[in-house]
Amino acid sequence: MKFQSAVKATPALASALKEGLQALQQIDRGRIECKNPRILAGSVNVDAALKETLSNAPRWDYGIGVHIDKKNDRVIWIEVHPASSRHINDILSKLQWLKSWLKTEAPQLYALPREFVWIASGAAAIQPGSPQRKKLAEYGLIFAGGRFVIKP
Amino acid sequence: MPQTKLLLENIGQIRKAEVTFGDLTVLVGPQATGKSIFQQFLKLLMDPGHVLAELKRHGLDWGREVEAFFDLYFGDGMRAAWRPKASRVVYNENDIDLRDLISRQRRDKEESLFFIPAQRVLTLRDGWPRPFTDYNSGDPFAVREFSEKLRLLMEEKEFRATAQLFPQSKRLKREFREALQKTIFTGFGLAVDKYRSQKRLILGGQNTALPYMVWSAGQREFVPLLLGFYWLLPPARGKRRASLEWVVIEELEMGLHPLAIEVTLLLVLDLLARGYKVCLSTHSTHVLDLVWALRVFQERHAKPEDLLELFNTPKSPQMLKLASAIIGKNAKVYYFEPGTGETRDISNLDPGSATDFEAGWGGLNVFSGRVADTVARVVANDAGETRA
Repeated sequence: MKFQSAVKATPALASALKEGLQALQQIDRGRIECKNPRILAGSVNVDAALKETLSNAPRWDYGIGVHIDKKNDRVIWIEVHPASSRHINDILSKLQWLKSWLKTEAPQLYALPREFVWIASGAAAIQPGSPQRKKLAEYGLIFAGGRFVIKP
Repeated sequence: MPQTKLLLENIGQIRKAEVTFGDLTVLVGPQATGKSIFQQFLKLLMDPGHVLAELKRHGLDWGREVEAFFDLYFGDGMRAAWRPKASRVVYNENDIDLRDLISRQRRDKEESLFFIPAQRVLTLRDGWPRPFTDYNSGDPFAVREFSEKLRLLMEEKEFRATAQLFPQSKRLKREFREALQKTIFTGFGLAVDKYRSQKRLILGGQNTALPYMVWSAGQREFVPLLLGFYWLLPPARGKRRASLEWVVIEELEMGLHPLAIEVTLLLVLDLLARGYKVCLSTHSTHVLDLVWALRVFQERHAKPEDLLELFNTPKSPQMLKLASAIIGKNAKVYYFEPGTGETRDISNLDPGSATDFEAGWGGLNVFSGRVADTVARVVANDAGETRA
């Protein structure tokens, strides 16, 4: 399935769909590198789109669609957040909320292949080889440090 | 005191390696990127009088030729590393004329840098240190000299009449001895024994005498390192040995279990606390874990107790004193990059760095990072997942 179709089938996000990385705040676009923008299928700012209806929820930041082939896309779910060991539980709460919300409110999006990515908003204090990063991995979360590269 | 600086250009695998040394300097990078040549150059430039006098004392002659000297000092075949028209050595901002350095008569034969080479396991044969002349003339000077030092320690200096080398109450802090006992010697002691009139080192316990050949690989690696530390850490009264100010240890972690590496790092901290400048090369993330923690501790004004917490060591008054002396030390990390032949300053060790060589800690964390990311992708797409 295509990312744009899945977003349009999600009432809460349909109007938030943007081309390329346009849904991301400018400061956050600078944290993401994509050498070939043609692989991008669009983006949504989940946090902004749900701010009024789910104001107290631990909302996730963004979803970015990436082409796999002509018929299929995958989604990279990005959260930009301070990064140290003490923030791990916050992130895991957000991840739990996102998965639960996707399952019930955006099943078409949840059906797409996915990556969950945490980008550090400031200094990153979680090392690649650390048990903390392995713990995140066991929850399905990639810790990207201060910059994430979208690969085809 | 100005910082020590060394720049090498077009020597062996090195195109341009430039290092400003800190209290602790760590060199990382894949095999054969020039770390060892760089450290051996540091020794030569700090102690030219000592190096040349030692070579001459043992009847070695390089005829004032740089290429012949390279074969003697760095080891057979290393003459190819020197390219007369392109190679350059700059030490503390001064261009060094290497031919002049190895030709001039020098009065100052004191030694300021102690070098513990990566091949230290070769320095014991049948459990006893080999003399300088036991090696081939093409074996690296650093190995031969270290070996000779251990021989002197055992035959002529403070251990010539000692039966028990480890544990010794006046050598190493009690906390270190206990940790070494647990992680490396596992209840045995290191002792001098005689077998058919020949002295040898053994690991001994109650009614047991284990000769060198039955020691574990880690014990064989560690004993020369321990003797090196004994050389550097004189008993109670002296802080440092004679004129020594610098220590180079190649591949500190060689053959050691991570728990033993932790203890060895504590011994390195003791060197730093005594005022030695230390330069390590390593393939172990443990060393960089420590440097990373030191940087964060300094930025966050951590307490000495926090440093001891890293090692899970008792917070005794003498350990707190040691930690207090360490916590303000300046640590630098340089990555010897393959391909370019250049060095990169990665002292910040920022896991969020935009440069892969800093975020991946000079390649040491790259595999772990890739493993974590791949596991995360598999978990994220598992329909039957149970977590979160």
